[in-house]
Amino acid sequence: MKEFIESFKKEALGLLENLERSLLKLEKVPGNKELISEIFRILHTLKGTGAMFDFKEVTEITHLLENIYADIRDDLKTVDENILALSFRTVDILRSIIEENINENDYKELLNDIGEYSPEIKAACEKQKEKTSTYFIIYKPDKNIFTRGLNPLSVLNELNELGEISSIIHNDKIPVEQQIEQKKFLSWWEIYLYSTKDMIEIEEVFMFNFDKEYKIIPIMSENDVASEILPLLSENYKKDEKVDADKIKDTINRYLKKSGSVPQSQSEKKQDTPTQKTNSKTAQVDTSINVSSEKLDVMMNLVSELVTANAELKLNADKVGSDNLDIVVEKIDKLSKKFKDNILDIRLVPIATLETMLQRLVYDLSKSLKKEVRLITEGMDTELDKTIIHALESPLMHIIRNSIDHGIEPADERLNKNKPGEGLVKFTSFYSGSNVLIQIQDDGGGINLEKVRKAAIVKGYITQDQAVSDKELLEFTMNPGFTTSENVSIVSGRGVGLDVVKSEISLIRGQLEINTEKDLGTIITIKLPLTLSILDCLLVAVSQFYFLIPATEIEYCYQEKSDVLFSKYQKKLEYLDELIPLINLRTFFSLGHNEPEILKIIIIHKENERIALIADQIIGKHQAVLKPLGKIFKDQEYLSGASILGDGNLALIIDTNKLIYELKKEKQLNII
Amino acid sequence: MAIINTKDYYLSFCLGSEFYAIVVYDVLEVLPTQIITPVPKAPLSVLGIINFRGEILPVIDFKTKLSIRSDSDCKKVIIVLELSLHDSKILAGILVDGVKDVLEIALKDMKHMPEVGIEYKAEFLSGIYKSEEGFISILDVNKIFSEEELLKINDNMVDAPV
Repeated sequence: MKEFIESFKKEALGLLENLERSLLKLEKVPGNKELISEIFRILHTLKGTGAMFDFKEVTEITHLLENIYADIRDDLKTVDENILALSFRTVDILRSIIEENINENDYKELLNDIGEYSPEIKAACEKQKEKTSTYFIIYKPDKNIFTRGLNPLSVLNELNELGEISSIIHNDKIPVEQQIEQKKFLSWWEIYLYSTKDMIEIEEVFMFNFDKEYKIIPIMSENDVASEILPLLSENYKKDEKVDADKIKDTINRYLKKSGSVPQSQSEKKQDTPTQKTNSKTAQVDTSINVSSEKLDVMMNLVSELVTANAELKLNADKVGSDNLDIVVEKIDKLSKKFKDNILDIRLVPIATLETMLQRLVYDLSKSLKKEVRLITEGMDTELDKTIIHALESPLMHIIRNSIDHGIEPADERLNKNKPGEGLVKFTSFYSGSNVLIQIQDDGGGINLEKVRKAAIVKGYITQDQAVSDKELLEFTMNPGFTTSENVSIVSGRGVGLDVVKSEISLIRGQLEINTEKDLGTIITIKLPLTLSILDCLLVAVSQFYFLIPATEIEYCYQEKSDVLFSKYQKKLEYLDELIPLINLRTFFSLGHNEPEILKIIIIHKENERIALIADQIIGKHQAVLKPLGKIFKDQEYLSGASILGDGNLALIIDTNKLIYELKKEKQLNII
Repeated sequence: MAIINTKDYYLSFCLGSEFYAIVVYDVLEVLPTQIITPVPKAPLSVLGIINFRGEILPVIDFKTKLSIRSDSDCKKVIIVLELSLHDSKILAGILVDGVKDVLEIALKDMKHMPEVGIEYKAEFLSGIYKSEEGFISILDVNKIFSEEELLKINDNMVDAPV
């Protein structure tokens, strides 16, 4: 049971995330019908599963909110600020319930607020409860129902608790008890329920049954019509044994028309659609599972081994020279490559997974600080290792908090400065060479460097009239306990700010850079290494060795005869009327002397510097998973790591930054 | 860390004409030789890297590392070691001239070696054992690969008498 509860919790947290995302979207387009029914569906699923695992609070609160959204869906209410605020609070409370750190007072307060917001709902649902309805239920359990650990009789017992039931059993030549013993179930029931409960509550009884196993047909009549309908219905089955819901509906409708009460087919439809959708939604949630990254690591290593073993197999199969064997080897080859690509892909998550959190944060902050702020995002498809993304959450929250609290000015001040009243926070992420850059930009007032300077003097970092560059001043803001804020707000300003961000970022081996311009805003750039993220590279070969060059830095590739190339200069190359430094990978890395006649030239363009690399062959593109070289190579300057190629071979990743840097240093030395 | 019980198992291998052994707890696997991808500008004793279970494994020429200069006809193999350095595990491969045997050696049979006349540092040596075929030097790989030693790799090689 504990296991089930754990998986329920995971599922519920996933649902809450979807709910939050939908709510954030709804905030932008309050009238969107699709979103509203999506929200309704999620709430409904939560309510159902919550009840199943005895999370009473979850059921209670989702039920109330669900009613509000049902009204919105039926155009009885419109989405407004209050409803959204309540919804977000519900998400938070539900999360705390599921994570088992619920604050009783918060919960009661919320319950009260929701109740107060919709007194008519409360009344309405109480009224509805008093109304008795008749339901016709066909329950035809699968014959293997016992293998699922279910007892069909318990369904009947539960129905009995909901109201008065009468039932007809079919296929009962073998007594039910005996069927249970034989583990093969053949009987089925027509059940007739006279109850005060609504459709949803009755459906909950069938929670563990498949959709095809039961059919509930509400008959909206206040009278107990069972005794009259039952004989009519059972006539149907005398002819054929199939359960045909339409036929039954027909029979019921015909009877009701005759007797004068009109079936509320409309409401029936309404109740049908959301339930069906709920089911499909649950199925969607079930398709994704949480797996610990250690498991993925193990898998990754196994796959790499598989690929290597496969390369060996291929080699040996070539020696044998059997066509049949070759076909199998080819198959395995393809499969293991696909397998590897898939695993690589699993590990990486688009940064978009952070978007909900960020949007929500901006929403909350703009409400609590009473500032209109909009968050726009760009490059959310940048992929990063899941652990890095996770580690980014808290520093990003800090940065955005700072931006909104300190950066963005109150609306009137903004208008005075000829800026739109609504502040803007822009979140951008993109690949840059062997790094992923994340930028958080706001269009606020910028960091007041004069204040920073004063605070730095108070702290004793600098003396009264010491000349300090802006850059150095900004560095101070990343020192522990540094604050310029005179009055500390709840949101930020207690001096535990950028230093925490900096240390958190450096834990994932990232760097932090701040740029600020008075009245224009601040840009905070987080530079993350690609330790685990995918790097698009160009794979080149020099004799039997492979090298990878980050594709984003490559400007141009061409080939040239060796004697032409080296005729004029040894270490320079004419390119676009410019003389650029030339590095022959063969000589640079001492890889032997068998130079081919035709060489490939790869022009690298980075930060206004160009260099040319020379290789024997260009093999193609490769998505490299960067692996560190390890402690022994820690002084290794020109390589940022290695990557395992599809055939198990290793390729070294060239660190173009360092190469350019090294060349510059050399140049300076030559001048001296 | 090698746990010195009264009795331990050791993997013996040859380097040139001499026999050496390391405690089996440090050994993860023995691999046949394969193409080692050289890493440019690496320490002299570092031959390069190989792909080991999807990770990058540095391979060290143990003879160069211990300044042993003799050739042998043995088939070279790579012994994969799992070492603990400051609570973190690191993997390293050493290239040796062939693995010989797994020996059970009692602590009392391990003799200390006079410090004179050995080419490498005596502290790398935890003892010497006399087998039927000759002397086997028992090495402490954790000491050989300690952090300071990793840093010193270059200097050692430069200073080694030729």
